[in-house]
Amino acid sequence: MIIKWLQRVLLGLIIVASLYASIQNLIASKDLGSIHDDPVLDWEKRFEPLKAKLPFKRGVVGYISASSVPGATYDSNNDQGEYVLTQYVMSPIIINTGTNQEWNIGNLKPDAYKIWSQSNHGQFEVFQFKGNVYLFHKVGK
Amino acid sequence: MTLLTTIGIFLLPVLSGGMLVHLLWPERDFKLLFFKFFLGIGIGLGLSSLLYFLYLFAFAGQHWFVFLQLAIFLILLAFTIGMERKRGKLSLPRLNLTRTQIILAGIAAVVFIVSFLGTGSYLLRRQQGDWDAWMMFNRAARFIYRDQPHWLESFSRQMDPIFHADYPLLLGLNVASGWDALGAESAYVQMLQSALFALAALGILVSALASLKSVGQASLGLIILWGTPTLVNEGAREMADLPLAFFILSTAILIYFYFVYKKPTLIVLSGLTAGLAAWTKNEGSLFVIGVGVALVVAFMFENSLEDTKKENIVSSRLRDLVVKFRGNVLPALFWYALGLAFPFVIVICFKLFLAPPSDVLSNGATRSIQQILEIPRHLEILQYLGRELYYFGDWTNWFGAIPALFVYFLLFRLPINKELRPAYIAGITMLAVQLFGDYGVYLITPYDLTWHLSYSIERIVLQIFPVIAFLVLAASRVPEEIM
Repeated sequence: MIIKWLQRVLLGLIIVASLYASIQNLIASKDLGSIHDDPVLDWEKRFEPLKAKLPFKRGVVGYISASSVPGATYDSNNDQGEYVLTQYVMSPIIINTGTNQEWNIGNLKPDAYKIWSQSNHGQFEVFQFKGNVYLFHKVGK
Repeated sequence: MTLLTTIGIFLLPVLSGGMLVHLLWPERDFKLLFFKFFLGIGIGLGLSSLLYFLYLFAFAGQHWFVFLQLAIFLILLAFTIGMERKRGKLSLPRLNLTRTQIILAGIAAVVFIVSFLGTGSYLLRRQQGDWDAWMMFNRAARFIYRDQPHWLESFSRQMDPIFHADYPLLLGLNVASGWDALGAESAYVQMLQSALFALAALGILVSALASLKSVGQASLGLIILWGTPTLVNEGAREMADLPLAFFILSTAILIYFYFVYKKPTLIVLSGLTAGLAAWTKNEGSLFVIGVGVALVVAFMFENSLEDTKKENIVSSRLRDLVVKFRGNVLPALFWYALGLAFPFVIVICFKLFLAPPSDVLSNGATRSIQQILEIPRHLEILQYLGRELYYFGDWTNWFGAIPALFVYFLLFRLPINKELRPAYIAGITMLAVQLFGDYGVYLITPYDLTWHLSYSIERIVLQIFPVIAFLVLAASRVPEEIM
């Protein structure tokens, strides 16, 4: 008899926990942001002009952000996320960190760009786009 | 309009998968028809992705794959109609539900609706999926679709290893072929694929429990599985863990059904689902080995083909083992290999000839051995794993879904039927091998262990959670008995 009651209590507990968790989860999904905001789409739009400027549709380009600029401040989580997003929106172009390629992307806030440009003066032809996006074209040796 | 067209595009592989399963296992029990439909979702999507992979080698840049899918669908439809015509009418079963079953089914329906809305809400807010989806699966789809004549560039060694160009392609190729059929990139394709796998994982668990146990137990399965937010959200994140969980669960259920129906086709199908697990995610290749081991162990436990004579006990035991190995294990491995062959040969060729080296193995032997010998690493992995197993599922702050299932098993367990004992042995063995393999990967990981564990341990447990739920509910008394 006790076992039967324990079984009923457990069954009830599982049902309550499951219902509670699923309702909480539905409510919490609102915290992910508005249905109309798509951060990936925003990132896509941000890089569209840069993609159009590149003279090829496939190949490898370099990528730098504030974390590659000594002395610049950055948030490491955002930095990594932005790198992943940039590869996603630039596909099928392959992105490598650094500026070893002929064409390189700079995802730099004004202060980081200022520091970077001081130490790389004259080495790159610079194209600036909206949203702190830059395209650096290596100038011949 | 795009959504409707996308649904239409997915119907071809999904229905083809269902018909293929039905042709191979023509059981007509109504609950099993549901099971085969849900199983067909994953098998159809998996086989379609493998075919698209082969198609690209010869016809990349051409856009008629959808017609190939249509042709396959029509051929399977003709075979299915031909087979069903010979077998006469299918009679609908009468649904006589008890009061307890109606209550449990009602609660299950509420959980389903709430969680379905949760999945929808998540999908609409993350149309491109989450981090790993951008990094791997949807990124691979973009590489393949946007530059199809040069699709092999997706596996360039110049790609940063964090983008895992070595990852199997089931999801990415289905997304690319969906876009190919639509003639444009649409987030609906990856959203729908993600939701389909979530629905299929739930569907096979519920229909299998309804067939093996009762409507009450099936409802409880739904309440537990879809009342687990971690799993529900995973169904919307467009990542490979839930599809992998689907294939792991399918394989375990198919092996279980084998011990109920004794049809070798079920082992063939389990080989196919294990192979598709390997085509979904790298952990799937480990699972292929785990299932092989599980079959050997389970079939060694299957009833003796002949009685052990009362001669010398040692020699008779040995003889019994040899006889069992020849009579039970080898045929089972043969059927398993038959189902496994097509997907797994492609996985092996992909890994050998196309994929860049995996980052997990990048440490080299010396460094890996050093890490294996570090006791604190073992302790940290065990600590994370233990905590995750206890709290898994985001149920409450006090306990998660797995301890609840454990206590449920203690209170509701049934004496296990001798005939079905090998099915449980197979299920437990494959879980143990999978966990052991994952443990090994954490030991030798080239990444910071704490970061790697906190980033992935929840998804590792998620991959095996549906099998744990299935085995516990299959081995327990049904709720109808206590109400």
